[in-house]
Amino acid sequence: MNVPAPGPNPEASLLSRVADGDSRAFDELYTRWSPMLYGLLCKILGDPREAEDALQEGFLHIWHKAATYRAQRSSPTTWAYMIFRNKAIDRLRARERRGRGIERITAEEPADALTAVDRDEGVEFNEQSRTIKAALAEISADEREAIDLAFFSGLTQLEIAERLGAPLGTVKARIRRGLLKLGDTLKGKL
Amino acid sequence: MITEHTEELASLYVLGLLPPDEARWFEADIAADAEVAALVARLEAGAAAIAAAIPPRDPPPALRGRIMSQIRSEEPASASVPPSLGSRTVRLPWAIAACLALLVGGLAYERYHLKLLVDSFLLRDVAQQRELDRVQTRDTDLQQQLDAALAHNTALASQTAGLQSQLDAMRGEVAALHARDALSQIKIATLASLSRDIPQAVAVVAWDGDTQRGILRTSKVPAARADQDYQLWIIDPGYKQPVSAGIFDPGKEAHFQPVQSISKAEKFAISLEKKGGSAAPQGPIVLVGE
Repeated sequence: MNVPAPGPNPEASLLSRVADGDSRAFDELYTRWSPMLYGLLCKILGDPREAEDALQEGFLHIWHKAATYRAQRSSPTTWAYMIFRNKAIDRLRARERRGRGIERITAEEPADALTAVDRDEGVEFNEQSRTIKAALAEISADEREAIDLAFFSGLTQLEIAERLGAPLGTVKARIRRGLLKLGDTLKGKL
Repeated sequence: MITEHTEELASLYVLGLLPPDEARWFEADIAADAEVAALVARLEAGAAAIAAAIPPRDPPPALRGRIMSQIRSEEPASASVPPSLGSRTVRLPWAIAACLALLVGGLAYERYHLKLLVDSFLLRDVAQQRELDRVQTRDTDLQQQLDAALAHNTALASQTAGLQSQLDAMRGEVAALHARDALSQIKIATLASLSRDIPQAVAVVAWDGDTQRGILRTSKVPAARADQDYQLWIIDPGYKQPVSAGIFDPGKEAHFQPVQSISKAEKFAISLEKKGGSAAPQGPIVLVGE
C-alpha cells in the first residue's frame, strides 16, 4: 500500500505549543481530536456520561503532559489514541473491581470495532479511513478477533484466552502477528 | 536482536496486557534498547489503527467549556497579562504578579525536567537492578556448583581416609603375617645338661635357617677353665660331623654363624674343648637339645 509520506505534522506543532502553555493551541487540538477520541471512549466504556469524564481527564492529561510527546517515536494521533484508550481501560477495570463487571459492558455493546469500518454509519471516510480499512483487511479473522478483544475489553490475557476458547500461547501469537502487520502497514500514516 | 518473545512482550505491553512487574521490566528494555523502542512504536501505530477505525462522535458542546475553563485556570499568568492601565501605581502589582508567574512557571518547568530526569534514573535503576538480579542468579548458580563440588570433594576425602585406614590395617596385617612367618622360620631349641657337675645348667638356642644365624643364651653354666672353651655344635644330617657354630663365653649372650651352610638343624650341642675350639668335637658334651 503506497500512501504519500506526510509533510510537517501540524498536530505536532500544536502539541509543542500546548507544552508551552498555549491554551489556544490546546483548543485547536480539542477541535481536531475530541470527536475521534469521544467515539473511541464511548465504544470502550459503553456509557456516554463516563466517556465525557474520560475525555475531560484525557485532555487535561494532554495539557499537563504535552511535553512528553516524542515525535520520533509516534505520530501525535497515535500518542493521543493510546493515552485515551488506556484511560478508558483503567476505568473499565476499576468498574469491574467495583462489581459491575466487564461482561455486562461487553454484552451491552459487543467489541466489534474492527468491523465498524465495514458499516455505513454516515461517517465521511477519508483517505486515512481507506488506509486503515485496507490494513485491517490484511489480518486474519482470528487475529482481528483477538486484537479486538484485547484492545476494547480490558480483559487479562487469560480471560481473553478463555473467552476465545483458545490456548493462551495461540492468543498471544495472534495478537503479536496481527499488531505487527497493522504496525508495518500503518506506521507513519496515522 | 528482536526475538519473537520480545515481539510478543511488546504486543502485550502496548495493549496493557502485561502484569505490572513485567511491564516495568519491559519499560526498562525500551529505555535501554532503541530497537525495542522502535518495535513498540510500530505496534502502537497498529493499535492506534484499531482506535482510528471507530466512527467519530461529537462530544456534548458544554464539555469543551468545562475543559477550557479548567486549563485556563492553570494556564501560566504570563499568557493572560491584561493590557496596560497607564498608571505606574496600577502597573506595579501586575509587574509583580508577572514576575511571580514567571518564577512559578520557571519552577514548574524546572520541576518537570527534574521529573523527567528522575524517571530516566528510575528506568536506568530498573535496568541495573535487572542486571544485578541476573548476576546474583548466576552467582547463586556458581555458589551451588561450588558447594556441590566441595561436598563431592569432602566425600572423596572421606573415602580416601577410609581407604587409607583400610590400607594401613592391611599393611598391619601383612606385617603381622610377615612377623608370624618370620617367627615360623626360627627354630628354638632348649639344651639340657648331660654333666653331673652342672645338673642345673641349661641353654636356649634360637636358630634362623634363612639367615643361617642364631643366638645362644645359657644359664647356670659355669665359666670354663682357663685352658678350655665352651663350643656350640649344630647336628645336620647332611654332614657326617657336627658343624661348629663357634666358641662362646657362658656369661654373655652369643650370636653365632656356623662355618658351613646348615640345611636342617636337627640338634644343638655344647662341649668343653681345648682353648680356641676344635674343628670337630673332642671334649665332653655338657649340654644337648633338639
